[in-house]
Amino acid sequence: MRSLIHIALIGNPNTGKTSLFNTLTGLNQHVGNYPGVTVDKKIGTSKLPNNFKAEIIDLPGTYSVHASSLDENVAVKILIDTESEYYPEVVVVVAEVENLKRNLLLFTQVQDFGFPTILVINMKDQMLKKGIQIDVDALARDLKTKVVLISSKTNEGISELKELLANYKKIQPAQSFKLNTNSVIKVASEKEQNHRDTVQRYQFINKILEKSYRVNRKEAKGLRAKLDAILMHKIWGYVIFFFILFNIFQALFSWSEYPMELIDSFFGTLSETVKNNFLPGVFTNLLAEGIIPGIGGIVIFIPQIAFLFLFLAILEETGYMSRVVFLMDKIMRKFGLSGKSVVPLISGTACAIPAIMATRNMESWKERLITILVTPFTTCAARLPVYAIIIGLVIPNDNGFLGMNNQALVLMLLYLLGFVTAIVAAYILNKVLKIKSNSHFVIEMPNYKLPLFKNIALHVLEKTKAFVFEAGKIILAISILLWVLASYGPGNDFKNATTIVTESNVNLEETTLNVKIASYKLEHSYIGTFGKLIEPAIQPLGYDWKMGIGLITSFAAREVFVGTLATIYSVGVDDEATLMEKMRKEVRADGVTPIFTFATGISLLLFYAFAMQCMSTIAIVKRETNGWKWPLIQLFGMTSFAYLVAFIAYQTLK
Amino acid sequence: MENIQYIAVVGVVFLALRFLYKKIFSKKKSNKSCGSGGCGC
Repeated sequence: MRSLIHIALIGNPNTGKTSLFNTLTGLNQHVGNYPGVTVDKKIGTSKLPNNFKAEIIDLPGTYSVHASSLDENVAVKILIDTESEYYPEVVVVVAEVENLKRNLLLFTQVQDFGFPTILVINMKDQMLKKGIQIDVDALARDLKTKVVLISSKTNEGISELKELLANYKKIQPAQSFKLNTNSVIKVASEKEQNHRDTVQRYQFINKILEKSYRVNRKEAKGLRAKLDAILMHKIWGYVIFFFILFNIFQALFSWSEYPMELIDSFFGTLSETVKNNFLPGVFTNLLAEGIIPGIGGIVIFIPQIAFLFLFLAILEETGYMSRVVFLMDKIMRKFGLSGKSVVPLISGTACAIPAIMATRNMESWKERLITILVTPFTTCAARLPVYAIIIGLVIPNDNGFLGMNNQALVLMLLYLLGFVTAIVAAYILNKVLKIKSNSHFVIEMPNYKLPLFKNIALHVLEKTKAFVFEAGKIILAISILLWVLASYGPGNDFKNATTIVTESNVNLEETTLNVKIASYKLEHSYIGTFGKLIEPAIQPLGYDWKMGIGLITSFAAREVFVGTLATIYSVGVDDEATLMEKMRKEVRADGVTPIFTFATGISLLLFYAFAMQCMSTIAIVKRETNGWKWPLIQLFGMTSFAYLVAFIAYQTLK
Repeated sequence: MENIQYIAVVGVVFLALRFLYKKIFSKKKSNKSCGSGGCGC
C-alpha cells in the first residue's frame, strides 16, 4: 500500500528551492496555474522511503508571509486555506547557507501556521568556500524542528530529507516564536504592526544564530567580491552588460537561422503534400492553406524564443541577472520603470507574451503596469519577416554610414527605435498615470554559480511552452477565421471568379490562370471587400486596399502580413524574392506610379514598429491587468501613434 | 464526401470562435501585484 503525503516547498527567492524541487521530482512534474490567477503552479511527485509517495507543490518564492507581490500572496493563501486541494500536511522551508538570517524570518512565520515544518538549508557545498559553519543540532533545538543540510547541486542530504518527509508525523508542530496567525491577513496592510513583528523576529533569530552560525569573513571575501566590483562598476558594469547583450543577439539570429529555414520548408512541404494527396475539398483546403501554415507560423519562432530564453536562463542561473537588475534600476527608475523591467524588455525582443508574464515579480503595481504597457514597443521576432521584406524592397543593399550595410543599419535602427520608444513612453506614462504605488526595490544578490543544465532546460521548456500555448493557440484560431474570410465572399464576383477571369484571359496558360483566379477571388472575398472599405482611411499613409488586407490579417500576428501579401500577389509564401519582385512592380490606379516607394516603405516600417498588431498580446494584457481598460488604452494609444507617425513619414517623404 | 468536408470546416471554425470567445471574455480574478489594492492584501 502506498500513502500520499502532500508537501509544500516554500522559501525566499534564490535559495535553490526550484533546484530542490527538480531534484526531488525529476521529470514527474507539471506546470499549471493557481485557480483564478495566472501565477505558475508547479506540482510534482516523488518516491519516499517505506513505500510513501509525496505530492510536492513548489510555492512561489516569498520573503515573508506579509505578501507584497502576487506570487507571495498565492504562497500565503495556500498555507491558510484548509479547504484548498494543495493544503499541505508538511511544509519544507528552504533556506540557504549564506542568507540564513533573512531566510529564518520566513521559517518562523511559516512555523506559526501549525504545520510540521522542516528547515532545509541548501548550498552545503558553498560552506567551505564561504567559511561558514552551522551547528545543525543547536539550530534544530532552538527552532524546535528538524534541520537538514543539503546541496541540490551534489544531491548531498537529499536521502536524509526524504527519510524525514516519510516520517513527518514524528515532527511535532511547534512555535519557536509567538505570533497571532489569525491576524496575518488583517494586519498585512498595517505596516507598523508588521514592522514591529519583523524586528522582534529578527531579534529572536539573531540570538539563535549567535550560537549556531559562524562566518569567517576573510574567506567570504573571495571571487564574488572581485566579480561584483567589475560587473557592477558604474561604467564597466554597463559596458559589459551591453557587450553581453550584443553577443546574445548576434548568436540568437545566426543560430536560429538554420532551424527556422528547416521548419519553414517542412511546413511548406507538408502543406503541399496534404493538398496533393488528400481528398480534394473544402476541409483539405482549410488544412493546407489555413491550419498547417497557421501552425507553421507559430513553430517557426520557437528557435529564436528558445535561444533567447536559454541565454536569459544562463544569465539568471549564474547570478549575473540580479546584478544587471540592480545596475539598471538606477537608470530605469528615472523613466518610471524598475530594474526588474529589464528582463521583460529584453524578453520582448523574442515575444511580448512571455515578456509580459515576466513582470509578475514586480512589487509596484504602477511600475508593473508601465512595463506591461511599453513592452510591446520592443522589436519582437514577429516583426522581423515584415521588416525583412520591406527593407529589402525600399532600402538599397549597399554600404553607407561607416561602411555598414544600409539594410542592416535600418534594421538595427528599428531595434533601437523600439527600445527608445518603450523608454520614452514609460517616462510619459509615469508622469501621466496617477496611481499610488509603494515603490520599494528588493533584489536578492545570489552567489555566482555554474548553471545547472536541468534548471536551464526546464526554464527554456516552460517559456517556450508559454509562447506556443498562449500566443500560438490564438494565432491558429485567427488563421482559421482569416482563411474562411479569404475563401468566401459576397456577391457574384466571388462566386463566378473562375468564369470571369477565364473569359478575360483566354490565352493564358493554366498555372498563370489559376494564380489570376486566386487573386481575383481574394479581392472579392469578405476580407478583400473589407480591405477596400478601409482604403480611404489608409490612403494618407500611402497604402492601397491590398496592404489594407495585410494590416487586417496581421492583427492576428504581425508576420501574417507577409503571408497575406504573398497570397494577394499570388506567389508562394516561401519565395520572398519573387514576392519582392511582384511588389516592386505594383503600380497605383494611374498605372505608372509604383506603390512600394521609399515613402510607403518607411511609413509601413514605422507603422509596424509602433502599432499594437498582436491579438495574443492584447489577450495577455487583458488577463494580467484583469480587465479591458488597459489593453484597449494600449491598443488605441499604440495604433493611433503608429498611424500619426506613418502619416507624417509618408507625407514628408513622398 | 463534399458534405462531410463542409461539416468538418464548420466544426473547426466553431471551435476556433469558441476558443477566442473564451479567451477574450474569460473571467479570471485580479492579477495585480500588491500596492494596487487589487490583490486583496
